[in-house]
Amino acid sequence: MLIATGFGAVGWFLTPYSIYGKTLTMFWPGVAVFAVVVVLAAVGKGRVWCNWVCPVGTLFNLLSKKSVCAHKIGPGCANCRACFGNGGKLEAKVGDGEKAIPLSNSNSELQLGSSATRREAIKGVAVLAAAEAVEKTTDGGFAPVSLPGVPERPAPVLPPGAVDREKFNVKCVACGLCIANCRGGCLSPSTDLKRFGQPEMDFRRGYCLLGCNYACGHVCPTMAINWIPRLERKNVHMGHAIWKKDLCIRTDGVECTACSRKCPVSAIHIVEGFPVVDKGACIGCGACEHVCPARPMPAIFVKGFDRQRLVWPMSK
Amino acid sequence: MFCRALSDGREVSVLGYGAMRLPTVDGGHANSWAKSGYSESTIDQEMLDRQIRYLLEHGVNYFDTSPAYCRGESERRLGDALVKSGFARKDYFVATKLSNFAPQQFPLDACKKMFENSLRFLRTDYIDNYLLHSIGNGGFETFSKRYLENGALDWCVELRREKRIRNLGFSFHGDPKAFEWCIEHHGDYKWDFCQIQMNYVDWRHAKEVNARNLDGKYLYETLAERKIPVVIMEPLLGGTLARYNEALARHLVPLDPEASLAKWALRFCASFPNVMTILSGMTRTEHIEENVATFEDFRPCTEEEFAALERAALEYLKCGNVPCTACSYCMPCPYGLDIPSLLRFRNDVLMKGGKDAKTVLAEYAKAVPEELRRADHCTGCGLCRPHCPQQINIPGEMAMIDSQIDLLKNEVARR
Repeated sequence: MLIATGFGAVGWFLTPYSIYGKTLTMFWPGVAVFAVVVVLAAVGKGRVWCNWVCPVGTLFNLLSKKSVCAHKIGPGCANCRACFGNGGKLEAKVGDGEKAIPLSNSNSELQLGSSATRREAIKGVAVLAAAEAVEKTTDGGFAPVSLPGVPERPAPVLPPGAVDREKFNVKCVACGLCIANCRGGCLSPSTDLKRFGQPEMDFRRGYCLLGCNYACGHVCPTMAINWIPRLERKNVHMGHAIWKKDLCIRTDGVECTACSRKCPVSAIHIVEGFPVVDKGACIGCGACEHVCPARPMPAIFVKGFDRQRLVWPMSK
Repeated sequence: MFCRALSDGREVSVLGYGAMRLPTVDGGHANSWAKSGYSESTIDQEMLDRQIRYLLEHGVNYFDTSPAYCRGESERRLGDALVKSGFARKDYFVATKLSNFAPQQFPLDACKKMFENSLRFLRTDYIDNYLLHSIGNGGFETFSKRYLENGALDWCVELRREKRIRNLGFSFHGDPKAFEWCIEHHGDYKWDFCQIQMNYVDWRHAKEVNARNLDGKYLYETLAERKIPVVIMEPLLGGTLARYNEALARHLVPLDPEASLAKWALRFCASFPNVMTILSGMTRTEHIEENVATFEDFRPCTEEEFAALERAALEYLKCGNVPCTACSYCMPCPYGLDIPSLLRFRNDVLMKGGKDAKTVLAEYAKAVPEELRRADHCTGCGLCRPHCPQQINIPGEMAMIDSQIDLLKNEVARR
């Protein structure tokens, strides 16, 4: 009965006949009713207008399918898949007479390795200050703390369930819902112009929680982040941790096991005093990066996968 | 004011003032800046002057400080306040310590300099009670390096002969070997007094809190046997025994419904005849007023009350609290952690139970406002451990707090 009345009312308001007259008489009340509905919906369910009514995001999404300036695969493609990066289980197929291209993003990793010289310049800023504080003569007080910098990741870390980075970049409309709902507080909008506003992991304020029920996937309106209910969080590998010897405070002779202590999947082992990442177990949650005391850059950071690895558990 | 006579005929008040937690302008105490957003907060000299005058007017005449307290400010501030109070130097006792904790302070010259500075800061030409500070901290070897190998102890005895210090004693935390060494050599050094940690929980159960501790009963009786007067520190375990705790209240309130828990703890300590003074770090005027009132009409505990206190202590131990007294000797942590606040949060919120995950997380954010000072940033380096007078396994506790917080975070995220 109520539903019928509601339909009738809406129908009456939308009916095309004499819309001019209705607009004249009903314009402001109509606007008021609409505003109230939008506000109530927003209070109840969040950005209903932006995600379910406003067509801009969907329109862009449709337009991007027929994009003029998008990359296209030409006829000379050898299907080597190097352009995809290391796509999980994808095999490299190198055509005859063509140069083999390394599958991983090792190029950019090498670049990062060379940035270690920067460490020489700023060496000891934080850690040596810390070492001095140890030789204390009085009690009380606090050592200064500073947020670490954002490491130059070879590849950004995407939220769990984003699966393929290329596809994710196309699907995501940068609505920010996942960022607002992130339980670990680690998603933040990207500042890279190629994916401006799209979510990526920033482990300075938090890390991806092992017990989280894919809150980001839950709220994603465009299915850019899939909600993977049947997979436990630790079965989705978003990336893996990379340790840099030059940045680590252990090379300064400081005892530290922070990354190993914090790892929720016990993927970091301290072997002969150095952290070793078990890349098979590492899920790229960023806990180690979050707690790494090295400044200004964390000595251990997560490199995102181009295609997230989904480890399907044995069926029960 | 309840006083005890010394061997030289002077009377010392049983309530003493500990200058480790001086008041700051923002209302906190100077060993902790947590409430002032980790910026350096200055000591409220005006308030301190007023409090010291109040204490002296009410007959409290024992003031205990150290070069290490309040980031090195305590002696100077206390000295100023005592001089400004208008009381004559002979009217009060000043105790300070040889706090040579850092290796660069071990040589005898550094110790001598520390003593001269103490005189200068306290604006006096003699110290009534001079202590070797926390002799057991860091083990017997550190004790030996600090006082024996460098000749500092012999020099202290020399000072006593010169009357630049009137009484020589030591304060004890940590390694029992250091205490036993001092007691064995009582004949050589003639300790005039000794400062120990004692309260009704540590009286019989210090070993249950930490296996390496010595019971207050053992310490007190050892000293009483040799007629060494006892100065008591941590009578309230850094305020832990003064804060409401159901386990304590259930046993103590029926006997005297109007008395505060702090009064019970102070009365317990003062009931022992060999106790010279009980030090209380009274930051706020209301603490001072309450404690002064306790000692103005003091009566010792009866057998029945001792039994109730023993029951309360047993019940208190079941809470599983870490015995942190927020002395801040562990600070500053090189990684910026706010250890005393974290341990207090552990005792008061995390381990108490009865709160849902969201509330606990909110309390966590309130207890330690800066994310970078929370337990997950502990690296397990263990530099804090030798400094803790209560011998708390701080890195272990930090890992425990963090894992509990992680569990709660995951619990909230799962919804």
